[in-house]
Amino acid sequence: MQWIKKHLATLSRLSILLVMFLLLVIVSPSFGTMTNILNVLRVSSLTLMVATGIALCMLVGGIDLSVGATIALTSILFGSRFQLGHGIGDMVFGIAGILVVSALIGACNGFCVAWLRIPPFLATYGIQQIARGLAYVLTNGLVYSNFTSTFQFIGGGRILGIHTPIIFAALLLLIVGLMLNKTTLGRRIYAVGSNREAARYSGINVNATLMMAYILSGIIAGFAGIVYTSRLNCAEPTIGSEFAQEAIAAAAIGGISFKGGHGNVFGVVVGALILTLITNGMTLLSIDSNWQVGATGVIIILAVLIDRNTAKKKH
Amino acid sequence: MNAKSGRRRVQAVLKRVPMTLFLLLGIILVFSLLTGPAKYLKLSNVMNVINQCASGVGILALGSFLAICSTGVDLSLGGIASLSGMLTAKLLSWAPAPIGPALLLVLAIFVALAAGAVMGSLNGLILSRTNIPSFIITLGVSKICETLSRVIAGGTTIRVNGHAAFEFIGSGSLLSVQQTTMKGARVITRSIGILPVSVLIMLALYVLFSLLMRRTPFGTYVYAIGGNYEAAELSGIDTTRTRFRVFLLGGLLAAVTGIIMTSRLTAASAANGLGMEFDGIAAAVVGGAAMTGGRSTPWRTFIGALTISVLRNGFSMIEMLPAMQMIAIGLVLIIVVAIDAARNRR
Repeated sequence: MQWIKKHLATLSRLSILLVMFLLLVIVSPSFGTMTNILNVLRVSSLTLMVATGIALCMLVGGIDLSVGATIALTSILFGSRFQLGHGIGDMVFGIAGILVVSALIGACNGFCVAWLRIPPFLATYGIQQIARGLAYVLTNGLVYSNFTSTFQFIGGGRILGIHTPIIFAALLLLIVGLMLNKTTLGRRIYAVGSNREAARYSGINVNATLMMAYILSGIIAGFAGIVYTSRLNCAEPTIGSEFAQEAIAAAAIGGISFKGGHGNVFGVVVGALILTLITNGMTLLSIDSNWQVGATGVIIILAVLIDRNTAKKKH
Repeated sequence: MNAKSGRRRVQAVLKRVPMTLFLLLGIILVFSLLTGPAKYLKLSNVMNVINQCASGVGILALGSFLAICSTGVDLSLGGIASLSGMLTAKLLSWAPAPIGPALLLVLAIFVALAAGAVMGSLNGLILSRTNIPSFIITLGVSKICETLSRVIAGGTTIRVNGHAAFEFIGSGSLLSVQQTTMKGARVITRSIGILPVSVLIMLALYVLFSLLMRRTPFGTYVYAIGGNYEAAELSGIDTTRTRFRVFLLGGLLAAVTGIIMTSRLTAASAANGLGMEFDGIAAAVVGGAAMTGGRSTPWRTFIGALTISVLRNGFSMIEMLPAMQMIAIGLVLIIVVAIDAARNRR
């Protein structure tokens, strides 16, 4: 009984997911097939990865609007600069380079938020402009495609019949989940998010914790960029623009509080799946794809309004 | 009158002049040196900057200022401008229209303003009754506006042709001067409007909002909420109603921007106006607003808006690549807000 009470919010989210799933199965018989379920998981896995990073920023009371531009910039960098040859060594070097660059973008965000005290949504918007601008400058108007088949396997391959993005997303969730629950960094992230002053007085280095959250979000976005580039087999500066809002929506449905300190990674999984089912359902009902952007907007607002941690009566 | 009191008087005047004005003059000086004063400071370019301000960040920045002054932020202004501009274009390109062109224009402007009011009220309703961070709700509303705008556009640019009265709002001028220039052997005469209608609308709105902030209870309440929310509430100010009005006015101002934007371009595409909310925030903060609320005035915001317009125009004048402009504007936004944050910490 107590267990149910404790996990009531998560259980209600799970039941929403189940009801939606059953509805879609009834509406469209082809929905319940293994192929389609794997497809839904594959589509949601990228949103899920990015959302996990954003969730870390939200847990420390911030936000990261720069993830889409990080994906574009790292994708372009891989296509134009890092893919020197066709050997495995070159590819590994390229991927390592991307992770370093995305960590640097995250560090810029973290520096602006922690040391310059810029409101997170403004800091990450500014960095987003700079990163996407750089992506355009670096492309010289070219689109990079035709990557090696080894690289294409990262985002487009299958292991034991399961798409690689799903496996990567599952691994990432496992790592981030363990980090949040079992390490001091995880505890610090929750502490800084729920009460920054209290965290400071109890000896936590608040700025370093903020910095780590944004760096991790950057690295995760960079990794998602690798998987995305590999799946598209193409790199251009316009990609990834919709990722930030989708990921924010997924995190919001998943019960990550915008005030910081509340929520867990499991919620984000359910959130990302609900979001994907909504967009998948809209596609099945052949609704204009333009509406999907608006749907994420409505979902963000509704999720925040329903969430009791944020929607308390003012001040 | 001796020299000492004279100096004191000069100092008193200097104290009242906002520092931003010197920043603006400095930027103008730099750009005129980079592009050549004759080219940069000629009448047509000066009027161009002012026109761009009126159809761009100028009016919208007032909405950003109001939201920031009451400790919030409004990220839906660009989306609302896009939606209102799109609605205006769609209604004016209604053919064959069931009503006359004059009535159609009134209807189009009314619908555009109503859309702004509805979206602003949506922000206001939620944000005045809960303590959800304003950026997340206004971001959601912005996405809704963007979607509606895209759906109405249906993937194309909506053009408004042959509606002289409507074009007058964005491109007309009450007074023009003839300017003749020599291009090789040919003499070219151009007419340059020096009292553009859109600029007059913008100035009228600034006068109105300046009075609103200084002479009405609403203005006092906004400053009070920005100064100290708890104290404002305890002293009996209806904070719910005031915050609601702030976002409602923001929506209306964004709608006016959308109408002028469409009129100036005689066309609307869904991408018009998107991202403009961040120019608005930059303008308000350059003008002296603090993200923590309670500071700055409409006229200071006006100087901030002019500064942003001068920067955007200057970047084009020195032929900076659009991608480099993105980077530059991003840097400007971060630097400006970082300076504001540093000032508040002291």
